[in-house]
Amino acid sequence: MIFNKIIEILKSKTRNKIRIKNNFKKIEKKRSDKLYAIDGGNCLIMDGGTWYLSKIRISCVTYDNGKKIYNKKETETIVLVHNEGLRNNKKTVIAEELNLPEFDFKKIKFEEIIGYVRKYLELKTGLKKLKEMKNGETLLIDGLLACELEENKKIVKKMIEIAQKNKINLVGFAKTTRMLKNGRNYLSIVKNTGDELGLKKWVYALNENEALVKLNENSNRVFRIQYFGDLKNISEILCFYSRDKSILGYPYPLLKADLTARISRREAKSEKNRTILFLKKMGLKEVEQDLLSQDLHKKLDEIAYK
Amino acid sequence: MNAENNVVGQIISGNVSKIFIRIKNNSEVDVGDILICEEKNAKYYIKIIDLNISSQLENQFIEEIAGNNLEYEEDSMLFDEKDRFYKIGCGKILKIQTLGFHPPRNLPKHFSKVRRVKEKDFEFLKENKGVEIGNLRLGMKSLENIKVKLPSNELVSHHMLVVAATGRGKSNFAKVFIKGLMEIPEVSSIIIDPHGEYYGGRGIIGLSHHPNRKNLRFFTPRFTEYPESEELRIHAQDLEPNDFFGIVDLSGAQKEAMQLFYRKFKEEWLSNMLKMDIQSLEKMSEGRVMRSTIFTLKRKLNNSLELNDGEGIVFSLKKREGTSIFSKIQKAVCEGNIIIIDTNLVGDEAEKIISSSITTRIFNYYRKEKQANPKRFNTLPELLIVFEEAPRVLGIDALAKGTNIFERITREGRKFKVGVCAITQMPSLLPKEILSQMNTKVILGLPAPSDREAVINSSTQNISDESVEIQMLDRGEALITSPFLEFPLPVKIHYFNDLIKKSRKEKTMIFGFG
Ligand SMILES: Nc1ncnc2c1ncn2[C@@H]1O[C@H](COP(=O)(O)OP(=O)(O)O)[C@@H](O)[C@H]1O
Ligand SMILES: [Mg+2]
Repeated sequence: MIFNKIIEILKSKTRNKIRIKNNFKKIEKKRSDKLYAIDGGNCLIMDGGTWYLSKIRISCVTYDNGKKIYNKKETETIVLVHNEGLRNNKKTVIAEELNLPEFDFKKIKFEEIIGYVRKYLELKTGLKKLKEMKNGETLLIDGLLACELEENKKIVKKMIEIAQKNKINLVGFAKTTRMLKNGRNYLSIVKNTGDELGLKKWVYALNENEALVKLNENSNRVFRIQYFGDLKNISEILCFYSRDKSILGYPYPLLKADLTARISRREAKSEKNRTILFLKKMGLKEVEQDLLSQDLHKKLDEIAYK
Repeated sequence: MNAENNVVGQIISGNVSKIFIRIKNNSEVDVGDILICEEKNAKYYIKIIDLNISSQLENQFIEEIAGNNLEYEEDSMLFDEKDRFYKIGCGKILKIQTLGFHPPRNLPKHFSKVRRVKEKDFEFLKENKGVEIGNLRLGMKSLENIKVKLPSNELVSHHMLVVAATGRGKSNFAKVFIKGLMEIPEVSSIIIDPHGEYYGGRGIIGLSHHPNRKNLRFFTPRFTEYPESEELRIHAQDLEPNDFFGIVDLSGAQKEAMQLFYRKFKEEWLSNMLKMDIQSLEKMSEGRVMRSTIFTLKRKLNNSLELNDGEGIVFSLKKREGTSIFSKIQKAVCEGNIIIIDTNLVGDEAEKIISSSITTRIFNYYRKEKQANPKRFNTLPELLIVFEEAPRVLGIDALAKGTNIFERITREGRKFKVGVCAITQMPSLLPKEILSQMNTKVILGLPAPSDREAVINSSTQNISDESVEIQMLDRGEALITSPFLEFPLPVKIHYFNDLIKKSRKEKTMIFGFG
């Protein structure tokens, strides 16, 4: 019954072929220019209901002409997220040895706050790097540049200014995107059209600062990017770096940055133990002790975790 | 080459029995290599026993890469290849050197650098006195400037075992070792040579080509063909019933009969038994020996001595003139000589009678001297009895017939400065107790698992991790384990013919003749 229904829905959708504009540009060359990639990772260490502790790590890797010349953990911090009062909905964050601005978290779900803080730290790192970078180089950031949070928007604005002034390519790269058109996945429509046109590597401009890309001829992956700089130039550089055999069609430096930033469960567990030990030493009461011993893994899976 | 260039890896994990090393890309490390991890106060000698290819990637990625390699050549490459794909070496710590050497009761730290060996690391080998048998070998490479010596004076009486499949260089090793003994007056040797390979001549290079051949003695039935040889002739009057026991298949009645005639005829027992007719012998025994027993004995003894009308290739019923061969050999041994006994022309039983009668006489002499004349005993050279095809006398089957002199020496020889060097291709045929008495083991390639197991299980040093290495050993490549060595040493044995050529050249240079 249920499957018949699915087939019916799918058929109705494909009946009238969606036509899209032919915005395709073949990517014909590769450029091996210097590229910076930034990514972050975070994990939950402890959940106290009205507060939680998380660890965030931001990494940056740099490749020039295909060779890794820099790979570092740029920021590493423990963050406390606190819901001060349910009535006034005031949520605050404090980071260990790091000044955070006053964020406006009113519209943001409590458990998702940490994701926004991480984004903030990623962008901060990006901004720092941009100041060191030179003409013709590219900064690749995991995730889109468009932000909801006011603080983050401000940093992106600064980043764009510097990038444009110094002729640096600034690219936000979305691993996963859901773009719908008439209830259908827009990415796959564009990809199928590209295939029909016999294109193997291409960019498809969505607007002045946004495009879809297919970066390797032997891969079916299509990604959405937001960028400032010359699209042809950017696509050729992305092509060069999206040839790693373990992940064709995806920029390898981003994978490397992800691996460097990622926080393993083992590391999370040891952070938790370290914190418990510390709190005990400070004379923590027993009730709270019970709370702290909650099953960590269950929570890890509930809250945004990468 | 500076020190950094010699670094081939770093310690990443492990325990006292196994240690893991991340191997630097493009540094060729093989199983069997010895590497050094040097910390402030300790130096670890690490032997590579296994290698793994490894990577930080999960299997799913690796499979994808392999797939992409196979399916697509265009538009793909590997970033950070050196970081992501590498080898992990699994090693065992042979010894730790601080001031002296210690067994591995400690471990190097994380990320300690591991480097290749240098000549200096094996300086301790230079302190060994004894016979140089080859170069240190790392995997397949032989290190020309690091020589390996065996402390012959000590290890000889603790027995040696030389094992390998045919053609891997057992006899070559024995020749190299004995050549070294020729240069040492404190050690004598008797070599039973069933294949005529040791003396040399007739196109074969042998010990006789050594410039120092004056202390080499060669006893052979073919003495007319070898200028400086002596006749190998054993007269019946010099043999005793015991020389046959454990070799010739004899019933209890037959043994008793032999003893009886020995008491009756004294040294003529054997020639009388073989020459006199059955009736007379029966009469002489006063009815204590049955006619049929005498009949069978005559046949058995005649066969084993290979006699034809009272005369054989080695044995003879004729009365001896001059000194017996046993006395000659005894004298030569006392003088620190190397004695080769050529048993090439005789059959199995005759050979055993020759070798065991000679060995028995000399062993008894050493024993008696120790008791009767300890001062003189102390001046006697250490003695090594070398024999090929060891299972023929030390095998489980052979010993089922009763004990023999060779077994006795493996058990007691040490006390009397007498040792055996047993050469065999099938150590698994020897009883465990005997194998473990052979303290020094020269192991060349052993493809059969049962043989490897026998040797590994009976070694004083732990070589259980070296099984694969032992299996793969090529001609002339050996692993030597001995309580007289710091750790099992991988060696490339010298090629005997090269050694001879070299020492002849040196001699020519010194004395100016060619
Ligand atoms: N250390 C060595 N270096 C070079 N060649 C060797 C070495 N040992 C043995 N050989 C070669 O291998 C052949 C067989 O050696 P041999 O000692 O007779 O083997 P085995 O006694 O084990 O049957 C020899 O003729 C010699 O040419
Ligand atoms: Mg041989």
